[in-house]
Amino acid sequence: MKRAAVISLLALCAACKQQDPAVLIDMSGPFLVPANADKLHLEVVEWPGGNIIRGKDWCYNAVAGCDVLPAMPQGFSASVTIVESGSAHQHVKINVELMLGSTVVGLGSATTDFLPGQTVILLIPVTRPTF
Amino acid sequence: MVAVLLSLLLCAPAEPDRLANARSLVAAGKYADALVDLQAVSQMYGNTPREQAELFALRASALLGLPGSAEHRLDAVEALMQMYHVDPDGTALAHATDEAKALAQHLRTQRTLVLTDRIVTARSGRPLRIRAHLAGVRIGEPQLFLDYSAQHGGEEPEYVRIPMEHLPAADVYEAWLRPGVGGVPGGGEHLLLYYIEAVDPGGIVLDSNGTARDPIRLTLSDTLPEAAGIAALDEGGRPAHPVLPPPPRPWYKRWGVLGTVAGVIVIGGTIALILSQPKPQPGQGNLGRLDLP
Repeated sequence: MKRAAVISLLALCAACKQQDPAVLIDMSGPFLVPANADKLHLEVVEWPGGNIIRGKDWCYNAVAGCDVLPAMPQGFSASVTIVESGSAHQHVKINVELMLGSTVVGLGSATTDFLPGQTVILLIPVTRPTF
Repeated sequence: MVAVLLSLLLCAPAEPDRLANARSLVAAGKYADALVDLQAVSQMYGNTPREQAELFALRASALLGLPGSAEHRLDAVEALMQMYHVDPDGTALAHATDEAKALAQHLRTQRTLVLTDRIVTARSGRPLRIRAHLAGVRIGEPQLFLDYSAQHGGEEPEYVRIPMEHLPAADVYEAWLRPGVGGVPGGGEHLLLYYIEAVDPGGIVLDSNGTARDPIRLTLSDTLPEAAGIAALDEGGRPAHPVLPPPPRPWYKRWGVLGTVAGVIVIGGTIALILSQPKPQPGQGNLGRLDLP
């Protein structure tokens, strides 16, 4: 009887598995898509190590291998959810780069921690770089 | 679902190695193109000190390769000084042009350089020693000052300035930052900004490793593995956290009671956790999900 109770308790706990740690990135900036920017590049960097874990591009113009960046006539405002599925990067830095053609027109960056079973919300303002 | 995730991973464009591209452009003599690439790379965050040093060395090479002008040469001098600040031994010059190597050698003998092994991570709550030494030409007997600030949010940092002690035997300068003294955090996770200035007897700044606007960034942590592995100087190399034997495990004979109580706590805690989860509200342009490998 006791053994059955313990086993059922363990089974119940197993069913309540936590979600994968995730970060919801909300990016915004004074850029009209596609007039001021037509490509978004986002990379996740191991921090403070500096190794790039993952990078991804979104393009307004259809390009093979580049996901779609929708038009944003009211200003750049986009969100991406980064999920640690199987990996274990506790502390990361997120770099955001907006481009118009081959020119970098906007940059943003922030560091964050993945928290077990939670989705952390991270706001990243994207501003014009000072060259 | 797995297939979708796999296709997403496979379709993602490869991360271009822009630094390698700039290196190739310098080697090919396409200096203007290289400068554009180097500018873009330097604007990115997450460059390691080694990459930063190479950036400066390549930038100096490209500037010196352009048609001669005083402005380009001054910029090249500035880039090489910054390279030495990040890479005191100048190992990044391996990828530089002969002209840049010659100028770097000249600077090493004709300018005053404040050199320090930049600390990236240190354990929080422990005394921290910051050391520097002078290279190159010396005018009189310079004094070195350490300016530091423990950053609080997004405020403009206010620096505390302390003189560094000269140790003639080793010809190094050092300063100690002690927890809880002079604005140094007593513990926890902090970002400490600092820079080191050499000032001649007349008060003229001879060189500065880091600046108030572009300081050296040091993470004070008691959780990061990099910090945990570094024994503080006052510890004589002893382990930071001595391993304590675990207390004897209590023995409960009434498993039924314990199981019931634990079950209620676990189930209640899980429900509370689920209910307390913030519900993310994606922005206007939801670009989907990115899985980390």
